[in-house]
Amino acid sequence: MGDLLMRVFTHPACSSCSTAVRRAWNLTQAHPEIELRTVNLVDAEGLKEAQAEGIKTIPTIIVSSAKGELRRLVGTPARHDLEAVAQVFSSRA
Amino acid sequence: MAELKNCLLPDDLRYHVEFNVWARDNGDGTYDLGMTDIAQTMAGAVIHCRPKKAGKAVKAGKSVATVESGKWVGPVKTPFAGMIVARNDAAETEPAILNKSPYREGWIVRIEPADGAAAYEGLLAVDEAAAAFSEYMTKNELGECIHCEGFDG
Repeated sequence: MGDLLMRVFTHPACSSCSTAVRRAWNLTQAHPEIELRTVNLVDAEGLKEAQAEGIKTIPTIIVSSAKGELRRLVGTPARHDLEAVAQVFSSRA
Repeated sequence: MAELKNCLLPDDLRYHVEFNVWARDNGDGTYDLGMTDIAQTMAGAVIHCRPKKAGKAVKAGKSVATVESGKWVGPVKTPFAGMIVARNDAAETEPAILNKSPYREGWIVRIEPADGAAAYEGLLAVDEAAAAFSEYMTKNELGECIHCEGFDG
């Protein structure tokens, strides 16, 4: 398990969520220190987790460490934005 | 725009809470009907929508469309009787607009009510609707509405 966790909050009704998941997947392949998890809001557990995080728009990506949330990206992230997040936090991990 | 647990209720519409639909006065004796933000959230991803055809008379409480989502299949009911004068073909060809734009692109049918404006006036204005939907959401243990990026409220 990586030191950093990247959660992608998704829903099947969200047409841009697949792009966010794909970009997050590609990123974590290049940065194995980041663990990727998708949270599907169709599931009751996923919805509960999203509500606990105060998520109102999907896709949303939350990067966190054991200390808590480090960064939140709302909407489909640009590749360079994701890469920048990974570079900053991977160097700290 | 009223906001209730992140669910949006535009000011210029009227609502039927039990049927979870809205109506818009087009100013020409016709009214558009569609699903509320709450309804589209409850339904989840809409994969099919089949509005009834123009020229069909409908009774109050009867179906004007059948909607199928990943977790629900059911009717969209009209709160008033009348004649369907138009249907939104885009709701059938691109059903995701019911999720993404429930109040604009996602209208379902246009109805000319049998008893004119009185039918529309009988629906709830936004403030009353927000209070009623609050009770509805509590009763049905509904959480917040969550919108896809680009949601057009």
